Amino acid sequence: MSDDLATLGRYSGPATLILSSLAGGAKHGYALMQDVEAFADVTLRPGTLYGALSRLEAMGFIEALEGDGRRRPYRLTPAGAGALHAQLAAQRQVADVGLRRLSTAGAMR
Amino acid sequence: MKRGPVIAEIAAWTLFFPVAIVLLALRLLGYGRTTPEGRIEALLAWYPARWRAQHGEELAQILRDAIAGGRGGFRMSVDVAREGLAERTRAFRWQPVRAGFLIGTGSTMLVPQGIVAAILSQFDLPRSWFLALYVGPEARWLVIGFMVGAGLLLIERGTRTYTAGCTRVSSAG
Repeated sequence: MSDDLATLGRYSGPATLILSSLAGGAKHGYALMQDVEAFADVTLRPGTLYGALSRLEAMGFIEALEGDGRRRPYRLTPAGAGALHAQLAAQRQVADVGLRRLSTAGAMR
Repeated sequence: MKRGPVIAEIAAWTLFFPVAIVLLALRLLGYGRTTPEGRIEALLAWYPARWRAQHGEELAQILRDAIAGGRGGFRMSVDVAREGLAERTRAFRWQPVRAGFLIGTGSTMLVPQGIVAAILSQFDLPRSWFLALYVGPEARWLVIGFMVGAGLLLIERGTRTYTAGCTRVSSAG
């Protein structure tokens, strides 16, 4: 089992958003869609959302809880928290370098 | 013959197929269904049956919530259809296709291009599509030997691929 979100290919973006949302507490599918839209301004559509959820569950990054009726809430596992931390740290490093270079380039103009 | 009706006929046939394809696609995306449940059923049909048995109920609930929340537009339908096709591609068993290709190619090389070509080389018959008969007598047996050897190897690889695929499926349940 890999502990890297990049192995999810085109699902790695949605997976980062889902894990970030679940870091704030367990949620079911539709609540996840609403939360991601609220904090990231990204619309995750049901097919992509469920494709990413099933892969994250298979990788052990999230787990399903007993739900009310047909809705199953998911929560972050310790492995998922570790993978999210690594992914966000890598993204922050890229953002820091990019912003620093932009500000240097701006100062040179 | 008048030009007007001919142009009209060409235009009608030119438009027929694109329009028919668009209408069929819309139908498969659940448009034309009178209830949200009918539309959800049409969208879930894009996924393989085994996947639907395991996850269908949960995805159907997300779709119900999305439609009720005003997020059930055309883009949602296209997204679900695309993911369903991706799951079908993932679930497709490639081993039989690969095994069939190897065994088919191997048999062609072994029997017609190898054994039959060897027999025909002893008679004065048309060369037809037997490659070995197009080269000189000194290289003929080299080509026949290559065809027989490569054919046997491909059949062996194909049989191995097929057997491995069957074992994987039976152990997966």
